[in-house]
Amino acid sequence: MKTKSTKSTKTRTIRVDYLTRVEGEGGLYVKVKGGTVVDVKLKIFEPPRFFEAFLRGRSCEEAADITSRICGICPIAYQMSAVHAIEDALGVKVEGQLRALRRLVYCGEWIESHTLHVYMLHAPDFLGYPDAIRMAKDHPDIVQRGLQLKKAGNEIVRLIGGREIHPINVRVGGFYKVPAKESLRALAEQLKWARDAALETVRWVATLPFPEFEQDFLFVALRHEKEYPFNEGRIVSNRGLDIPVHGYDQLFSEEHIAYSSALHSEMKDQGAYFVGPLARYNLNFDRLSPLAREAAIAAGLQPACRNPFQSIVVRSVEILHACEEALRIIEQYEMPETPAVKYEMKAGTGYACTEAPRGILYHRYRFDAHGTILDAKIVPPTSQNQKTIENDLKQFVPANLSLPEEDLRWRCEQIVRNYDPCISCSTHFLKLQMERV
Amino acid sequence: MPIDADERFYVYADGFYECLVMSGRAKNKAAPAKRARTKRISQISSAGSSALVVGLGNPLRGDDAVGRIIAGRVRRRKRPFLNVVECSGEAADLMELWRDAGTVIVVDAVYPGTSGPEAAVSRRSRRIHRFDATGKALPACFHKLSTHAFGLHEAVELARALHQLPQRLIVFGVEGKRFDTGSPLSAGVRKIVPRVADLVVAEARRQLKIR
Repeated sequence: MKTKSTKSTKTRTIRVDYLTRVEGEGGLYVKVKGGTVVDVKLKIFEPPRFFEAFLRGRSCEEAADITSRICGICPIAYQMSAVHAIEDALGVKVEGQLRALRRLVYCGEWIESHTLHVYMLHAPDFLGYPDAIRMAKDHPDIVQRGLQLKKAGNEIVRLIGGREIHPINVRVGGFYKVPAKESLRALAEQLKWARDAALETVRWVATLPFPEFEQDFLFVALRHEKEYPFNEGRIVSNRGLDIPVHGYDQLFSEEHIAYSSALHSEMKDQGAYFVGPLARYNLNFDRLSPLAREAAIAAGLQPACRNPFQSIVVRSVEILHACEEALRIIEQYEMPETPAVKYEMKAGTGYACTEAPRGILYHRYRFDAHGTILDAKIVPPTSQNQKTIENDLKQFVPANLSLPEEDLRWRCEQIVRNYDPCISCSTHFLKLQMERV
Repeated sequence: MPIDADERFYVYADGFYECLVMSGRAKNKAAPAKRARTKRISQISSAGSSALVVGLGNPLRGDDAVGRIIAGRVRRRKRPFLNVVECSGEAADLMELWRDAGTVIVVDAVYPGTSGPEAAVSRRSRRIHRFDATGKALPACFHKLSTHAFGLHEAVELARALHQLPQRLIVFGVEGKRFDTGSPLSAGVRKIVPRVADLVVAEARRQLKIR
C-alpha cells in the first residue's frame, strides 16, 4: 500500500493504492478546498463479471448455483434471493421445517461473515493494528475466539448447504437433501458455546473507542411481521417507506459512475440510502431476541443508532441473535417428509429481497415457459451503500483535517470498512487520494 | 502422463464429491469411508509416519486450480505415507486441517514473476517455487489483494502468532498465467503438473526420511 503526501497551506494529497481489509479492489480520492470537501470518489476497479448477462439462456433452476459464485463469503444470500425470486414467479410457498432450515443456514452465514469482519477486518482499526495477524500476537485468546466462532457458522452452512463456500444443497422449492434431526442436534453444543462467545464479543467490542460521528441516514431494510428479517418481509425505511418487494424497481435506481466499475444506487427523490446491520437494527430492534436486545443496551447502544463506527457492535449483536435463532430452530426441528415442494414450471417474472450480511440483496428474473432466463437483475448491498460511504467521507473529513496525515488516511479507510464492503459483489458488471486546493 | 480434461474433472470432483453425496445429488457407498479418512488425517500425520498434502485453489478460475489438480495427481499415486486433501484456502479451515500435524506440504498457485532466494526449484521450469514456511513468513507472491476470504498467507501467519503451525510446513508455489473465471489451466501450467507432483512426493520422503 503506497502513500503519497504533499504538505502545503492549501493542498493535501493522501493516496492509498489499495484499500486494505476489504473484499475486492478499490481506492479512495478526496479533494479538499479551503477546508471543504469538494469531491469524493470511492473508486472500484475490480473488473465486472457479467453475471446478469450470462444468466440469460440458463435455466432458472441453475440461478442459485450460478449466483452463489458471485461471492465466497455470502453465497447463501445469493442462493436465497435467487430461489425466492423464482418461487415468487411460480407461486411456490416454502413453509414449515423447510422454511426453518432456510433461516438456519442464513444464521450460519451471518455468524461466519459477521465474525470474520468483526475480528479480522474491523477490530484492528479500533485497537491500532494494521492487520489481524499483529493483533493476534498481542491478543491471541480474542483472535482464537473469533476463529472458533467463525467455524461454528461454517459448520451450519456446511451441514445444511453441503459445503461452506459455494454451497450446493439449495434449490427451488427447498433443498436437495435435508439433515436428520440427530445431525442438527450434534451442532447444538457447539452453538451454545458460540452463543456465549458471541455475548463475550458484544461485551468486548463495547469497550472499543468510537469517534463521535452521527449522521441522519436514510435506513432501508426488510421488516417482517414477527421475526428479525432474513428471507422475507416488506421493504421499509425510517422515513415512512413501506412497500412489497415487487415495488423495488419503481423506487430504487442504479447508475453507472465513470470512475467506478460498480453501479451506484439511490432512492428516487431521496438520494443515498443505507442498508446492512445498522439499518436492520434501527428498523427491527424490537424483533431481536431478548438476550440480544439486552446485550445491545448493556453495550451502550440505544434502540436507534446512527454512528456507523458502532456498526461493529451492531454486527456483534446480530451474531448473538443468529446463534440464538439457530439454537431455537434446532430445538424444534423435525426432519421434513420431503426435501422440496413440488412445482410446475411456467413463464413469469419473480422478485425477491433477502437480508445478506451486508444488507438487502435484490434479485429479479424473467423466464419463459421452459424456465429459461430471459433477463436478470441483481443489486447487491454494497453497491447500494456506495453513495452513503462517499457522503460519510464528505462529512467526516472537514471536521478532521487537523489530524496527522497518516491518521486521517486511516480514518478514511475505516469509514469504508464500517460498511464491510464486498467490492467483488458490487461490480455487477484503498487507494485514497486526497487533494487539497 | 499428461493431464487431460477428465482428470481435471475428477480432481475437482474429489473434493466436491463428498458434498454431492451429502446433498443427495450423487450416490457413492465409498463416501463415508472417505469422510472417516479425512477425520483421521491430522492424527496420522501427527504420528510422524505420514505427511499431509494440501492442494489449494479455486477450481473455476484457471490456473488457480493447479494446487487441487496436483493434489489429485499425488492422491492417485496412493503412497501410504501421504494423506491428501483439497481446500479452498480459507484461513480458518487451513488452520484446522493442519492442527497438531507433523509435516504439511501445501501446493498453491502464485502470481507470475515470483523471485527470491528460494525461487525456482526446477531447472526444467523456473515456474515452480518451494518455500519453507516453518520458521519464516511466506513471500509476497502468496499475499492476496483481497483479504475478505483470508488465504494461505493469513493462515500461516495467524497460526504462527497463535503457536498453531505444524512442525514442518513446506509450500510449493506454481506460477500461474491466467486466473479468469471459467478458464482452463494454461498450457504452460498444465505441462508442469506432473513435475510438481513428483517434487511433492520427493519432499514428503525427504521430510519423513523415507527412501
